[in-house]
Amino acid sequence: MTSTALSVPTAADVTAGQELPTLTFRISRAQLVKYCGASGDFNVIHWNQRHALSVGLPDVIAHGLCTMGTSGRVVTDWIRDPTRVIEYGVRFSSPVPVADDDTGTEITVGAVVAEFDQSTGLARIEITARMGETDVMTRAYAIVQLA
Amino acid sequence: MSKSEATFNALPFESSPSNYYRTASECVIRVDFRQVFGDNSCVPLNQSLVGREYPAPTKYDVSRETIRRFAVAIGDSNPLYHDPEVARAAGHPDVVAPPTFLTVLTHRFHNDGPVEDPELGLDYSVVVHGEQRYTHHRPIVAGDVLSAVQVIDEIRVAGRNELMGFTTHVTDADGKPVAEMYVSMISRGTAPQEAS
Repeated sequence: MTSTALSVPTAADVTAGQELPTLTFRISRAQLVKYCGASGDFNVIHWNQRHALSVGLPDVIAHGLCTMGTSGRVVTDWIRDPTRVIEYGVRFSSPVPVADDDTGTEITVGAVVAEFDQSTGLARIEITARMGETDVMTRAYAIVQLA
Repeated sequence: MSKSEATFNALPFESSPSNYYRTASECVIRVDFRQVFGDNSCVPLNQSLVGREYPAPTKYDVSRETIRRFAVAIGDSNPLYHDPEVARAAGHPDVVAPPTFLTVLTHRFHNDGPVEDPELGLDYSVVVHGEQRYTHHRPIVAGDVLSAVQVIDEIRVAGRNELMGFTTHVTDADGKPVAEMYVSMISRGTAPQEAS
């Protein structure tokens, strides 16, 4: 695979312990609606506040996979070619409530190169995703193939 | 475990948002009021179903527009998702799918998979999403025609909950492996309880 049109990071650009640029984004009600349509997950807890409150949730909550998918940009924005992400895994640790406002819920995503194998060009990247002080995903990681 | 602690743990949620998160490893997204009101009629999951396979009844056609729609939903303007020319210049046959795109197959074939198998006995109203993992063997691109088989990997007790893990094996039109997607569901409070 060649990626001449993109400046994909090469093995020479990477060292273990290297931090990737932090990603901050806001999940809004509008995004949840889009994610319902795009993913096919129309569970009412993701769009119906009346229902969410009736089952004891603090508000409508984001799809875990909406958070996971959006957070993955911390890696793909860096590696440019998303098909170099060989593996991506997370555990969901806290729901993300999304209020009916114009700002949405802010998520801050950090990533660090935890391991890098020079011979194969494979890097293991550990990811954190926080809503304020709360981890919304744990044990999140991606394995990427560098150019 | 004290009686009050046991009672506390039997509740599927705390009503106050301030103590909504019981532990870091649990995420409440559904609540079963039968548990709230003490009807402890939950039945353990049928562990004999480990290994059962659920082939999707139809193929899944990956298109530029389904990829574009998914990329927009995760707020991602990466040109490899949106522009076939850029994708080709980067060595791909067409626009490529984001790493979590295969989620669409989960929902497309939800009704044909283990979650809705009446023999499993999973009450979806007490289920929370535990873990998600994608393993890719090759890029997914517009024009791919994918087949999917969901397989139950494990069913086990985890404290007072049960865990059901299943993998969706995705292959292309030639039958070659494209990706696997592992999902674990946590069935809250359905584990057999020891008599006190």
